[in-house]
Amino acid sequence: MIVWSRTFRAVKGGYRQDEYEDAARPHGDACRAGKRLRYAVADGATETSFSGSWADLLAKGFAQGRTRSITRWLEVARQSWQAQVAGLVLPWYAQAKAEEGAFAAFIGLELQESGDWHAMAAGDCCLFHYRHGELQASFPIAMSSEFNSRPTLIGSRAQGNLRDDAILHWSSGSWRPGDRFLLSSDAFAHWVLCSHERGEMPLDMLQEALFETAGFEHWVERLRAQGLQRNDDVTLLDLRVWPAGATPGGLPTLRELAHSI
Amino acid sequence: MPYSAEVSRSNPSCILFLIDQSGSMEDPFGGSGGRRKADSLADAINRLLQNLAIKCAKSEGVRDYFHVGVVGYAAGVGPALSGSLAGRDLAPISEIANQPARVEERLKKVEDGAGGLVEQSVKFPVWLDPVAKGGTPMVQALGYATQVLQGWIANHPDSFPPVVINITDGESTDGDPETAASGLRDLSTSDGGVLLFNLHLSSREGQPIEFPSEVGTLPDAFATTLYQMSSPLPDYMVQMAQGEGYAVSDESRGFVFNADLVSVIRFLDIGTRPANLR
Repeated sequence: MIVWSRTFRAVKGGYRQDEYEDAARPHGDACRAGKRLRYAVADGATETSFSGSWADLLAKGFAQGRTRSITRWLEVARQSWQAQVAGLVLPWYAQAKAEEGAFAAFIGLELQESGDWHAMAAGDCCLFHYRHGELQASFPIAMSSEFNSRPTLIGSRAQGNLRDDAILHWSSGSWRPGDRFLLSSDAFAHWVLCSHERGEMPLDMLQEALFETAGFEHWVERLRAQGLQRNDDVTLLDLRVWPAGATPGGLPTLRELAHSI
Repeated sequence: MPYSAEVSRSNPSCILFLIDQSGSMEDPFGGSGGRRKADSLADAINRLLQNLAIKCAKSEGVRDYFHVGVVGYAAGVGPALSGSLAGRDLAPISEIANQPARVEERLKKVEDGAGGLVEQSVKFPVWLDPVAKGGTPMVQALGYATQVLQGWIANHPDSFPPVVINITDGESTDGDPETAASGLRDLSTSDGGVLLFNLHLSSREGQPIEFPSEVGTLPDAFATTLYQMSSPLPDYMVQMAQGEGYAVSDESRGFVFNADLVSVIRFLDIGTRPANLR
């Protein structure tokens, strides 16, 4: 199995690049081959602190895929986050905030060579599965009205949190050669669903935007200015999957992929 | 849609606290077995400011999502913060957070992760100490707030509307406050009218009341007056309150009796807040 991936991001309008609190794995453009490949997007909650690093630990830990145990994945991420925060000398408000823990939404996808896919989600990060441009699955949210600013998220401290199995949602399906998966944080996912509900083809609109030299960030800024997309950090992981039999020479280049749909 | 403006550092909102520091606040508080209302008020305002500062805190510091003021009313009416913030009607929340009068160490019971509770030392900032002397010029205080917010709104015409939180035992000594309250609520930004919420600290014993939707359940005339002065909860706050388990309706007003108003700080929307964070 071979997977092409492209990662896009746009920082919340009015915020600095270093205030971006989403995370994705892998970064940038990538072509990976394997029997089991993992991809992830996480979105740190604005109203918690150190949430960008928490989102990054979740995405990184899941995508590395060293463990099949979700309990262990969360345990390792929590230990790492708490170790990062523990040594800091903080003013009273930052200390109180850190004691509340960081929180993040999450979407993780595992593609398997057998033709299966499995996804895991918490909160309002979403997966969209397309085949020949048609939406096959939207997970874990299917309607734009389901979004709000109070999702249930994964906490960096187990104390006081809901049980992890009450927060995590699961889905699975099968893929065919050339299928496309979008993993995204909530503002973009909300726009995708609104766009479908208006009878539009958001995948075509994305494709068109990617042709433009100004690129993804400029397009997102335009959607925000038109009131079509909420002002928030945006992260998009765009995946295309092919069977192992497809040799690199027989596969489209990234540029060709960008122009094909 | 009103009350939907994004609250950000470039488009902050405003929170103005009005605190009753009159002689009647020496009387015992109905819900606390003899504790003075002045002590309950100091706790209430310190907790509200603390929660607001923590809400805006990030790893790098406090983001100025709000401009905050505390106006005291008793013998006179005016800014009540002390130290380097003394005399200022409004200050960015980062300045409030960084300049409490003092930071005390207090013990707090927290979950130990194994179903029990353990005591943990926490820092407790104090901005205001209890004060109780003089009358209750609530009409004058509401007029002062109107004047402060007129100036603020002129500079922030598209902001999420200012929120005024009045904490009192309800016994105005300079006339019926309803007309002055109405004048305050009539101020507006392009996103909606000023929200006036009231926290009634009463000597009367009785069950706390939160966000009532009718006067029938209220215990006395002071509570009724404060209820009538209070803004209806905006739709989005009703939804959030319902999400947190409050029995509220579209008719509910921003009024609580012998209860706290910290929930209102949670209802201010500055971005994603986890539903499982309390």
